[in-house]
Amino acid sequence: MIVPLLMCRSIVHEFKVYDKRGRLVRHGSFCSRSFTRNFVALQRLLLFDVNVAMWDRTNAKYTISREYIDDVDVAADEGNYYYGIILGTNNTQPAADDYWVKAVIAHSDTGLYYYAMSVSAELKGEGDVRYFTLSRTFENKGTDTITFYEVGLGAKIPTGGTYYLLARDTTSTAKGVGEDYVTIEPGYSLVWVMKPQIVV
Amino acid sequence: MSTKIMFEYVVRDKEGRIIKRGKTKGHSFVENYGKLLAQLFAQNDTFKLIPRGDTEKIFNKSDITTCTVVGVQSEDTNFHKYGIIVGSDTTTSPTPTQTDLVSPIEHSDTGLSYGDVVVGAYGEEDTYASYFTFSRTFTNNSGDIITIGEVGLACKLTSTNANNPGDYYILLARDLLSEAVDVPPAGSITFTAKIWNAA
Repeated sequence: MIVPLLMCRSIVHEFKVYDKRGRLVRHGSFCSRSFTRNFVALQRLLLFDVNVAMWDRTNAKYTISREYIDDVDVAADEGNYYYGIILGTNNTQPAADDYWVKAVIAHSDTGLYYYAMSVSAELKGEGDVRYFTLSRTFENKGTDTITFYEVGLGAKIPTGGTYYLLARDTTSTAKGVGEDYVTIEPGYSLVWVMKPQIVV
Repeated sequence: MSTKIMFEYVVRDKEGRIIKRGKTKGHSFVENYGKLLAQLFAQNDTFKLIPRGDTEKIFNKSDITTCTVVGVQSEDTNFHKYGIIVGSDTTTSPTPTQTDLVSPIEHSDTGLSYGDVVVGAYGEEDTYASYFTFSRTFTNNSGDIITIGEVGLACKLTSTNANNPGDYYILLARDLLSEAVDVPPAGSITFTAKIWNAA
């Protein structure tokens, strides 16, 4: 079942796996623990007229100036696995200085297929909770089961190294999975939803 | 988003001696901040926020580049309307829909005088947390005790949207102090806000 995460003051992750006929076969949710230092830097850039340091996907350090705050982009196109929601196979616990998904599963027409990101700024929720929604659909177009352990959120900022990791989590804390990983069988699809959330 | 905000305070008497310290729990971002972050991710052509004591206003995408919490007197006569702000309410719990302090204490040269917002440190506490800080000192220039019960964070945002051009002051966070704090005459209180991504 999808577990309500009312006290999560971070990103709520929700995922659903569908079989070839579109039937829901697996789902779960968990609370992120892992906004990176890049995300903190981004908030600093939002609130102050300063330059900030950010680390790109190669761990190269760049100075990002205020003018780029309205150029942050997480809405990756179909096939682009450099930003937006990204899946990987490494299960090392997240850290603030993570700079990329550690073992990215690349987009492939005959493997894990990345569809375009969907981003909604509409604030939802009730009571003390408010969130907005980022989501991406994936499909296993290969012949082998795909297993992943980590999920990240990358942003594209058109300066410096261009691609910056804002959050990274491992699925080991996922509720409703029964394992510390998630699998997608051949022909199955996955919908991953991130809900950045504030709780008063 | 892991985005917590906490306010720490230090009260000093007229001699500058520390007479009280405390902090809030950091559960206090309101809808406006959620909308601002959502806009940061979505980059829509326009977005809407509700300014302090006002009705909903429309902002253009590029207006987000004007957002600031750094109110400095020498640069802006309205410096006290944003940054760290304080009020006297002691009972109203924070809710996401709040758009202003419940009972704001206005800046006054002969009452509670707002100082400049000072940008503080950026740092990392361990492998799971990084943070940044900023602070503001309020001086009691009246002859009476001033009691503070609530604290908030507001930003200034300039709208270039044709429907409502101008400067607006947006409440981003509000919290109650665990107990009301008295600032003695000629004394001061310094609030330091810390935003971080604690695991």
